[in-house]
Amino acid sequence: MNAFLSMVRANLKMTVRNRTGLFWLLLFPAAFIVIFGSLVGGGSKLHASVGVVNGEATPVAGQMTSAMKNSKFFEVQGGTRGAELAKLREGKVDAVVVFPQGAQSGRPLRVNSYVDKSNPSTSQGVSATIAQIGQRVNEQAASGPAESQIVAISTRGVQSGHLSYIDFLVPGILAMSIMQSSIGSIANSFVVLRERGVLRRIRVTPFPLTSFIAARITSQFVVALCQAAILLGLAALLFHVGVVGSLLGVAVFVLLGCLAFLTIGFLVAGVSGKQESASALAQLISFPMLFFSGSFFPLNQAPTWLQELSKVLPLTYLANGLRQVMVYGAPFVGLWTDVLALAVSVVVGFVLAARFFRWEPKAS
Amino acid sequence: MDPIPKIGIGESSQTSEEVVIRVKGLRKSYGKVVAVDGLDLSVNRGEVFAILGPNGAGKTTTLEMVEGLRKPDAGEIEVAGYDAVREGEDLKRIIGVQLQSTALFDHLSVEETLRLFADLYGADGSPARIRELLEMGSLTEKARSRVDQLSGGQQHRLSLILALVNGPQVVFLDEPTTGLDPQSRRNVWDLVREIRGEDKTVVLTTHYMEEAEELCDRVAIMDHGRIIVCDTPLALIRSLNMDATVLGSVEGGPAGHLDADLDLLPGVTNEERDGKNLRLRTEDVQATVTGLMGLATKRGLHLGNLSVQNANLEDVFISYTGRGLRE
Repeated sequence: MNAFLSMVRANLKMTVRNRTGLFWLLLFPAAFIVIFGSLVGGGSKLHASVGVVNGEATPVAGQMTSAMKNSKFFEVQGGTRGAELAKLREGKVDAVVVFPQGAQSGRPLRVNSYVDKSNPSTSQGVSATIAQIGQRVNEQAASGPAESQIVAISTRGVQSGHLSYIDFLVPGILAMSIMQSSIGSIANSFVVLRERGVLRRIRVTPFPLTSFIAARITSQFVVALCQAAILLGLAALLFHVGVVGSLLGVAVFVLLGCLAFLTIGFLVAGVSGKQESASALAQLISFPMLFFSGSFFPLNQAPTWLQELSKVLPLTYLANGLRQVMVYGAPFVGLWTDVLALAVSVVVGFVLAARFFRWEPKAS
Repeated sequence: MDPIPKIGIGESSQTSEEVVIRVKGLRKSYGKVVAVDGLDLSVNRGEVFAILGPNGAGKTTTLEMVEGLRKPDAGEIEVAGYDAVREGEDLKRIIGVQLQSTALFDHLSVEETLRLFADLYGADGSPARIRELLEMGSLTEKARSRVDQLSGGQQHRLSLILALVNGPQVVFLDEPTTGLDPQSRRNVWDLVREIRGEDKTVVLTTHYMEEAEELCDRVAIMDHGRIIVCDTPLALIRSLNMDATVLGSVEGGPAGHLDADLDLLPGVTNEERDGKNLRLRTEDVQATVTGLMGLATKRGLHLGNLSVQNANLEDVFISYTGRGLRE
């Protein structure tokens, strides 16, 4: 088998068999999501408030409005189109249903529903329920002699500033777990391998040490993607937090973040002589980042100095990038500041790591 | 490559052999500390060659330069036709190396470790080949055990068979038995003999003189970064011209009866008596033993625990360096 793939496979085996490592890699962030998720409640509500516009304008509209009022899921209120949409943007209602002012005979009634994009689970529930009501109206009509389709519903997402805490938290936890596993795995294991002479043993084989490092990076990529899949799967399953944007965008941020923190891990390994000091230094770097990067709580209310500090932390950009893609469904091209910041972090980290890198234990 | 002229000490007895390692004028210092100081060495194909010396003599540094792992400050090294300094990468493929530290990846099993290293060498990692290596190292039953669950002796044997994974021509073992109990040490010795039986050259370092004596065809005694003397263990011991010692104990009568006559026995150069135990230094073992037996019979005494002790490599080391191996 190819030496490189063989090394990657061995790395992955070792990762899976390292119980302590696995705890920090998966169990800890998973527990974090479950505990915080349960405390703050899931993003999906049992009730959704709907602003209905022109609810009584036509008989069909009246029929649908009363169906919504009868549904236990909806809390219906009425108002003008502008006012209701403004409420949606402020996060005060979960959806707005707009009926036309009059009906054109022979044509289906065009109903526009607007849902809050930033709360995907609720908006999915809302659109599904409204569609169901529309379908029931159509089915009743189909059994009669009249035109088969009387209602056509189109749904649009509206971006609101409103965001539930769990939606905010999940990308933060994912960013945290990628940071922990990337810095931690390299900082600890590399020092151990170097100090115990395993790197020297690799050095006497024809396998280049640069390939050894490349294999470590590759296996860490696989680990990070698995972390993302498992944590996001868990969040979707338990709290209905989905990924609004593209999964590819999530993957790009995961890998970029992984690379940025790997270089920090190599830097830590380079400057540390013992596993204990590497471990302590890794904690020293990652813990402040956890709290000052806005991974766990938004920083818009935080003091200015904290906001400024967060701007030099790579985790800020990873958490923000992931959040933008996952929660707001932001297109990838719009996130170039986050991408650029992470890329700069990779380059700076690489230069520093290369400067302090060593294959051999410090001469005793 | 131009052949390097034959060099080395003690080579006269082995001139007909094919030389596989030649080292000439090797030097290495760390700051002001001179680790290797103008070392010459030559190793023949198919022999087990030991570099014997105390800790800090420069054995490991020498070995690592010959393996191509360290760059010498000066000197020439040729191993199996490769220049170890300039062709280190090619050299790696045809040599097997056991380092002093035998640590490996803790979370891999014995079998997985062997397969991984076979892949790293681009060598045969087929199940049959892995089985063969496991058998050689008596690790068949431990194939699925994780490396961190092995005993010290098993880890040593694993790192030894790992040095064979690429079917090397020359195998370097850096202190292969240091820190092992006597039984594990004997197992490692058996394994080294097996490697030698496969027509490979083995170069090992040790600070155990009995290891060099038991296992090696030739021994180079090293101290302060230099080879002091190099020859077969037997030739080294003989070269000392050192007296043998006859040991025995007197049973069935007062040992004092012998005292006056002991130094009259043929060949005896020195005699000691401690209670009933005798120690006779002799330059003629046969004459002394025959005389002692006759004397005992005449006096009606019985001699127990009769034995002869010859000089060993420890004595050789002391005579060349003026101090013991483990001082």
